[in-house]
Amino acid sequence: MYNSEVRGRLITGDKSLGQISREIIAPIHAKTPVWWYFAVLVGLIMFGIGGYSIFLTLTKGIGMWGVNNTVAWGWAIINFVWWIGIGHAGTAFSIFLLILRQKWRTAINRAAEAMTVVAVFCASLFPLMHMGRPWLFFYIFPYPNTRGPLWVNFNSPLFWDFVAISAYLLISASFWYFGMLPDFATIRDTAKSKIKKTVYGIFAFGWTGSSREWLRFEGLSFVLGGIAAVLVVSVHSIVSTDFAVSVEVGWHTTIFPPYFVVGAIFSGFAMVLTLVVIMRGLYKMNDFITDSHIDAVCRVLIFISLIMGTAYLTEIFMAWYSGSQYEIYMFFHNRLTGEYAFQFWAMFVSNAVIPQLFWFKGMRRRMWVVFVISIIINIGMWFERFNIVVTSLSRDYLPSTWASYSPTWVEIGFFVGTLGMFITGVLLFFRFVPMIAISELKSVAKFDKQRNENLKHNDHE
Amino acid sequence: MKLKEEHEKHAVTLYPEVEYKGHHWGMAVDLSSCTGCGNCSVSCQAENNIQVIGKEQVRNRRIMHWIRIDRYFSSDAENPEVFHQPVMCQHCDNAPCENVCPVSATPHSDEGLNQMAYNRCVGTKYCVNNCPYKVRRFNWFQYVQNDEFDFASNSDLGRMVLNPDVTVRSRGVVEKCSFCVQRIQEKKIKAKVEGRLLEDQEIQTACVQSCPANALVFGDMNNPESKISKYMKNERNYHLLEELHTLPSVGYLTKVRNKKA
Amino acid sequence: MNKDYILGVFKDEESLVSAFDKVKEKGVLPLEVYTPYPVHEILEGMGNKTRITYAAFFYGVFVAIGILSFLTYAASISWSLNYGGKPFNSFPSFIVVTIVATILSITILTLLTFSIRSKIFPGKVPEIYHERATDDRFVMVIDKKSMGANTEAINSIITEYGEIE
Repeated sequence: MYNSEVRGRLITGDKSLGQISREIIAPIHAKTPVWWYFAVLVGLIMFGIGGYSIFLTLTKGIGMWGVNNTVAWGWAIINFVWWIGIGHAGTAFSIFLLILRQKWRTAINRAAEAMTVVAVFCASLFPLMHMGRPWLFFYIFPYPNTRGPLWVNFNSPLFWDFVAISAYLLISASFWYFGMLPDFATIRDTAKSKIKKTVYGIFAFGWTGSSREWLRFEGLSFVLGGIAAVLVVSVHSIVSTDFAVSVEVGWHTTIFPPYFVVGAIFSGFAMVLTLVVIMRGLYKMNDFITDSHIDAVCRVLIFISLIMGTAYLTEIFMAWYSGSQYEIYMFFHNRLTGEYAFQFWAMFVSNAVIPQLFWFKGMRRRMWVVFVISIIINIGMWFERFNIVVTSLSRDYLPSTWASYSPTWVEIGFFVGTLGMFITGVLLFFRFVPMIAISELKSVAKFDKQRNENLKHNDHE
Repeated sequence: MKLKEEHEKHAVTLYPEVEYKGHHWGMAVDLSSCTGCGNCSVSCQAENNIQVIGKEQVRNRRIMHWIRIDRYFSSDAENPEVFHQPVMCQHCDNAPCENVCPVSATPHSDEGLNQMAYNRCVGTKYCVNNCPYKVRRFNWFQYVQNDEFDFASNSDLGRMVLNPDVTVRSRGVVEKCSFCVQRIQEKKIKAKVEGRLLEDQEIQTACVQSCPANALVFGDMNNPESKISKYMKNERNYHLLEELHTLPSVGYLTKVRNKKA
Repeated sequence: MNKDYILGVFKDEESLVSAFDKVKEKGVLPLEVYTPYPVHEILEGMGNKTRITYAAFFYGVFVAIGILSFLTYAASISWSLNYGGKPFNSFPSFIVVTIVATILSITILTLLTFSIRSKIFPGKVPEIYHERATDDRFVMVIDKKSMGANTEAINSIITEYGEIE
């Protein structure tokens, strides 16, 4: 089997296997730091604002939002697509890098998968709450009923979306959880306190690390990895069909599925970068998440950023080349200039231009630069979704129906609430779950060792 | 005329168009007759229990009228020529709104009507977005028996004017022009009881009935002798945004102006 | 010692694999080997086979056929509705749901299979031979009875590479 060459050290500081477990588990056994409580409090306050916004929406109606007869989808759908995009990083990270046999993924994939689960959960709230009657959401299940039975519309992209999002949430959560079983067992066996032993013992599902378990575990990872790769590509393609299947100007394009998938991976990797930089800073994981790991993610981002830029230009070119007056109006009079030109250029600059700074090694080495650019990419990707959802709807076919859209504080509060939920979720992950896949890291530790021995060998000769 | 031929040349389809064997309801608007008086909007509002939503919600672009009158201005800005166009649900045979509803709340009837099942609607609003004519209306709030909307439907007396043949919609559902389906059914049942065929012009929707200029015509497009069939065959007839191939059941007879050359 | 097995405890992968091979040469197969991460030589050497990938494949085949037939039945036989003039049997748009729902079903069924076959489930009390087997020790469990005449030889192999506990 072909293994790609391991570039750079995967773990710095020549750690023994025992050290690896101890250092990664340390935050779980250590006393909870004060900043953690503070950050959780901030997260919960934001979550509270979101809860109140949801309460208002549920009791009074969607009219509490800024959406109208023309722009019927507003921030809710923008944020839904944004979160789903971020949620693509985890699985993309694990799966694509697994397929490409990139050993460096082992240090980051756990955090990326955790982020995926929380982000997809945040995302799933939006389609539910943007419904006029969310208490009847179960109508979307094709369940046998006494009304005929009346089934659902299998042609509707929203039905595809519903199936895809539920599948993605369940699969990414189980992929993440089953990957953690051996690590929970490690915590169980190394913990001193009785409570921890019991709790993590339950989480570990009785894992012992026997060869029989490992054999099936490997089989399982192989199967899940293989099909999840299909899933990552299909889920965001399906999200893109929410737009591409419609007749709206600027939505009805065949470029959307690949464009959305790449965009999702782009925003997801950026969010991983944000998270990993924070993780390194707060938990001193520099030995496991080395500079070369950050460097690798930055290089990936340059590449994806170029694809994004190409996609934006292709869209504009196709609008002109199509000769359709609606498309030409949409791009040249409504997006590039016009009421929402700021959002368009914010998207273009932060997704296609600013990430190009990563060509410079100095930029990739400075953690604060990496952090700031990763945040800018996330904001840029949000504007991309704004640009797609709002500009197309606000100026479509008949000028008599043109309308502008601006959000109300309820919509903004809802978004803030999901941000709070994300922060809280990630903090709980930092505190209670091994944030790096211990067993996987141990299995790649030997590559460093061989390398060291080779180096020694060469020295002697 | 040239434009129309051009459009028809491009009208290709991947799958066969649905045939309507019984009735195929349609409407035509003679734009030469339309004066833009707004009677159709008002009578529709009375017939179909359309709620009054107040100034603020109108300002928020959330009107509920099932038929609206679009105005187009041409020539001189100081003294423009005005062109009125009533736009209601076009009951497209290839309706973009129907495909996208996940819960089957808006399928197409065998008589060519674009139906709306309020009870089934969960309010995803995708149909509102995907309608190129933007004729679908959403109940953003509870407009009936709600003190925040203290208009016609907040008192017992006010609710006495509601039409008992038409559902009052709750918040969170989408509604739109139904071609006065309650009137169609009433007349169909009457004809059936009397054991005869429906006569042309027997069914009149609220807007058709109230139009002072007789600009609106409603009828069965499958009946070659009906007035609507003749309107549809008229060379002035065109469909709104017909290049989208939505196959609307509403035709517009283009406005003819007598102008000096 | 009243236990009926011995534990060979090793500090790294290479010693475990070397000891394992030598023990096998003596015609003795360890009862079980516990490692902190999967060691492929051991997985092969233990002679166990997993059919989980075949199981997953067949789940996929059956589920995909099942879902596609359900969609076709529901949309074109049970209660066909005209959505925007599309044919009742809109096969291309059924593929989308079929793919995703198949993936979901494969995952759930394969996880269940894994759980049942490996006896990994919440609330299971694990049988722990050596506390550090999930941390940094590689543990080989050998049945005393199976060693028979080779007891001395195996003991010396283990002590050569690791320790007996």
